Amino acid sequence: MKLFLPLIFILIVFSNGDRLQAQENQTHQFSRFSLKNAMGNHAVGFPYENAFLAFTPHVSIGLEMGLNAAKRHGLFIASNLGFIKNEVIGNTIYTDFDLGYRYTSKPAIFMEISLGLGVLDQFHPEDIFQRNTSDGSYEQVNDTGRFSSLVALKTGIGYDISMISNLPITIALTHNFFIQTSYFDVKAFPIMPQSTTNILLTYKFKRS
Amino acid sequence: MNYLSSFILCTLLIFSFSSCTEEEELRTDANIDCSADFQDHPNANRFQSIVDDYAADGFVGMTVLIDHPSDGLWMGSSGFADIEDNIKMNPCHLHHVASLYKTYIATIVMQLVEENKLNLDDKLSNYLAADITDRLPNGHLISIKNLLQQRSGLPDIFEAEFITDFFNTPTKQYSIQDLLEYIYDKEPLSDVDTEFKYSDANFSLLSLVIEEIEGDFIQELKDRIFTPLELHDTYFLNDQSDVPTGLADSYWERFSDGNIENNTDVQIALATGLRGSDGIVSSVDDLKTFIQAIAKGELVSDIAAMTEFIAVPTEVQETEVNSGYGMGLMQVQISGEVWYGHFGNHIGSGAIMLYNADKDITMIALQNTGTFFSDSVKGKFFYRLLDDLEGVLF
Repeated sequence: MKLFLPLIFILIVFSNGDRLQAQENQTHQFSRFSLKNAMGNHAVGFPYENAFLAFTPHVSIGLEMGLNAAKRHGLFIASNLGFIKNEVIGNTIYTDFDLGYRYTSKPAIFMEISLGLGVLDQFHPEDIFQRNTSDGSYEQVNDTGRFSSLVALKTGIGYDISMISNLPITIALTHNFFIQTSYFDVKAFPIMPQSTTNILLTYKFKRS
Repeated sequence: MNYLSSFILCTLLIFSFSSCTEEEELRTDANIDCSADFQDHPNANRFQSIVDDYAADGFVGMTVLIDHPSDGLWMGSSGFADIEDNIKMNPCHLHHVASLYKTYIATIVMQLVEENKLNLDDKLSNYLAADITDRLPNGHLISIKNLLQQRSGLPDIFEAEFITDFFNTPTKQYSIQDLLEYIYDKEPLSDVDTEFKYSDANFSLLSLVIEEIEGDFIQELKDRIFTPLELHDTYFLNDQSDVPTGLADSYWERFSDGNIENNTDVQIALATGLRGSDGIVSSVDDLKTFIQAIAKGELVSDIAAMTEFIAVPTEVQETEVNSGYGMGLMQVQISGEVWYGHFGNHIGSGAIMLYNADKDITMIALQNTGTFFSDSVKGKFFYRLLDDLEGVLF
């Protein structure tokens, strides 16, 4: 419910002064670059599992560049910076680089899939301590996080509002599955499978 | 740019709506008086040196008890029961004993056998409803003995599916039926009575059998074991608000990077929440009393049946140190000496309870650093520590 109120707010803000009109595709008005913003929920598990079992917010911002000018079959690359607030496996900052494909149908509905590679820095949910070897006491230490790598498979389905109105945005529901390597020092569970399920808003820059 | 500024504004707004509420951290009251002093023991310095070494090598706090027929009793601790409050570990602190639970449940089942309330060869389906046994792998073939010997072919509950759920809802409280959902309708790992396959499900089901015959299995633990043996430092954790004084905090080295983190809240949630697989906290002295009572036939007359060990597969012998499994009892062999008892492996604790029947020696080790998610901590505790202690004993 917490997410619905801001989403309604977005729609009000973006539709202020605009009327949805049936227009021709305005792709030619936009540059190859767009700004992406995803907000949603993070979960531990395999694709489409446990997506909303617990409330662990995720937000990311990214820059996308189209690799071709085709209307229907678009290839793109994107770079994202994200934050996951998870007090169980650890709060996480990540950055990844995606290569993706997007198919846009005539009524402006699109589907996309991308593969990503990235790194993440994960912070302990609780205070951390290290043993002082000189006297055996424990001292609290600053948590600078722990780096590990991630491999992501992202899928999404959305609507390109810019194709039917003056709003230069698209809205999509995305599911980003990623595997973090490594997590534990245990052969049975060396990786941590995770996913984020998001509302993705993309702002298309206009050609200058 | 109007649209862009609105876009950024909305992003910030949405994230501000998405703030988490901080849960209150659960901590134990680890303050406890303890006047144990065993400086006169002939091996006191050597044992203490070992415990100190382990406390300096990745274990937050540890207590070891050795009871030797000629040298007598030694108990010693090192490290911390509570880092944040600077409370040193001592031999009176209570610890989570994790899978030692299995030995308690096996003891009650064997008592029921001696009371002619059940037979080892009885099928599980004689006691549990069809809606359980119909959905269990090998459900209609498994006997009570198969469960006690970990030879039912049942998969373990604590595999990937449970673990991913756990990381989403770590403080969830499970009933035994909730836990059995993780193995319902799955393929068995083997045919019944053909292979050793360690599974907590075996003892969850035995807990249900006890309930069917006697009523509340927790009350049976108290009436049949805790009270008769006067185990005043042994408790079954009923819920997270009912934590006894003197229980050591729990820690883990989550990323095996030398950084220690308090995970008491999760450890207690699991201990109280994994009904039928966990829940007992105890002290080294009470565990000594318990294993010696088993060994001396004070709880179960037919100790020979409980200690009729069947060799476990070679790969288990190589990765774990147990060479055989009896009925809720492991056989452990490190450098020639044979022990029996059980290990307890948990997210914020580790427990060893062993008895050497040939030489009448009892060895208990309890510590408060998680062994479950770290092969290196697990290997140090369940293998290297035993090896080092044996080096002093034999």
